[in-house]
Amino acid sequence: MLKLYSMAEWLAFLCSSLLFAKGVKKEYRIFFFYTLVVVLVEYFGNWMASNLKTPNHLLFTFACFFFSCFYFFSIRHFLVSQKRRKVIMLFFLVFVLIYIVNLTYFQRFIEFNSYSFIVGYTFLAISCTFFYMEFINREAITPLWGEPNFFIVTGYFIYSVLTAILYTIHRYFAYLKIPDLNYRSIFQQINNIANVSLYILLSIAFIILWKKRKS
Amino acid sequence: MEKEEVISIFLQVTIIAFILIIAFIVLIIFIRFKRNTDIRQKETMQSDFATQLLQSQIEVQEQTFQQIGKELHDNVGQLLSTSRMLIGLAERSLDNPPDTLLIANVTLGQAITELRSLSKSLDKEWLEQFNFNENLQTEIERINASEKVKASYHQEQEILLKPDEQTILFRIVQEAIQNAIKHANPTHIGITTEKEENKLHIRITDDGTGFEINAKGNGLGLNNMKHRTTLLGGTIVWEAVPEKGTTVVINLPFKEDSR
Repeated sequence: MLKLYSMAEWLAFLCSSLLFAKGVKKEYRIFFFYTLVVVLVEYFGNWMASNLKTPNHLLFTFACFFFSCFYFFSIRHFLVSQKRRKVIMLFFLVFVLIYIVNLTYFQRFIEFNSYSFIVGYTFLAISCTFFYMEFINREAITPLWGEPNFFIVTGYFIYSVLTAILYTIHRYFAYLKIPDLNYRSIFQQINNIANVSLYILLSIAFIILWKKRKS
Repeated sequence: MEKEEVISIFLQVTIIAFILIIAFIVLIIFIRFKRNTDIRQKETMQSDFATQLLQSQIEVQEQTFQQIGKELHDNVGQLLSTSRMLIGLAERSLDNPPDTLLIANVTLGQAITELRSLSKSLDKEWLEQFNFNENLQTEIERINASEKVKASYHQEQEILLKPDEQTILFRIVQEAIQNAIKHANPTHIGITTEKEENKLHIRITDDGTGFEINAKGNGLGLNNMKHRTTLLGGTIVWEAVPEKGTTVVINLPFKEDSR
């Protein structure tokens, strides 16, 4: 049976197919490929864990890097201010640098590269606030239901803040090395909240884009 | 640190973080909503201000027209009448008055009639005594009397508008006719009015030289017409082809006045 977050992923994937309807801005079609990769990664991750009985952290280390890059570039695309765009580009380059250094010298291929994503998601959350600043300062009347980018960025924001906090606490308790502590279940639940929020908000954004299409 | 304590910290931090995130997003939505309301209010105020400004401009224009009309009628008209009376006396005192004197008397008579007609067309209170069709018909007669250009008016039905609206509309048509006479040198000007259920279409067509709509110097008169049409809630379009004439199309929302 499908888990809640898998259902959310599938929902986002199905809704993203609406972006191919005539009249929807073509630049948004990339979200279909993003959700397709999300569904595939989730499927192979589960398959590796259950069938091959091998750890899937490497797959998620690469997949999360790819997703983070995608989030950075999509937020950058939504912004108007050139200055803010440059700052996001800088965040992205620092994130890539940290990711490479972490993968080469610190967490390597042995475990999930959480340090890189703590930094990456923190930068992503700051990038989301850039979008919010532009969103609230816009001089034209902007109804919420006519602004799909707001839902996309809000999805990123909830996901990145929750995940950054979650990874930080996780690393902290891992550092303390408390015996007999199995918090995998609670970790999974919180991660699910972040994922479900992201994919539901993306689905809403895709539906708005489809409804706003030019006939 | 106990196992339960760790899980509890995990949960507490996550719940607090989630609540703060949601509060932050709600705050963003609230600020945007408030800004939308402010922009909407600002736009309404700007639009109200523009309408009021337009109305006061038109009122000032109407007062000026009325003053000019009265001056023409009471001052220039009286002078012309006195002159005509004196010429008449001179005519009668002579046994054989010269033709130039007779012609001067007739010409003065025509001038007085035209002046009266012009001063009436400038007087808002006078115009309000009649409906739009009657006023337009009088204007056509006045133009035809000058024999410079032939004007015709074709109406399908009688148009009954509120006094203010009828004066504004009459001024738009009057301006279009004057523009044609002054700038296009036409031989014929045709006006048609067509009434639909909730709409009124007026076309003023001339066979003059036409004009470049975007050319310099067309601004004030055309803007006046545009502003007046906007005040009536309608649209105005110029279809001008150089050397082939001009058509002015006025489309208005229409609600019959039950006077």
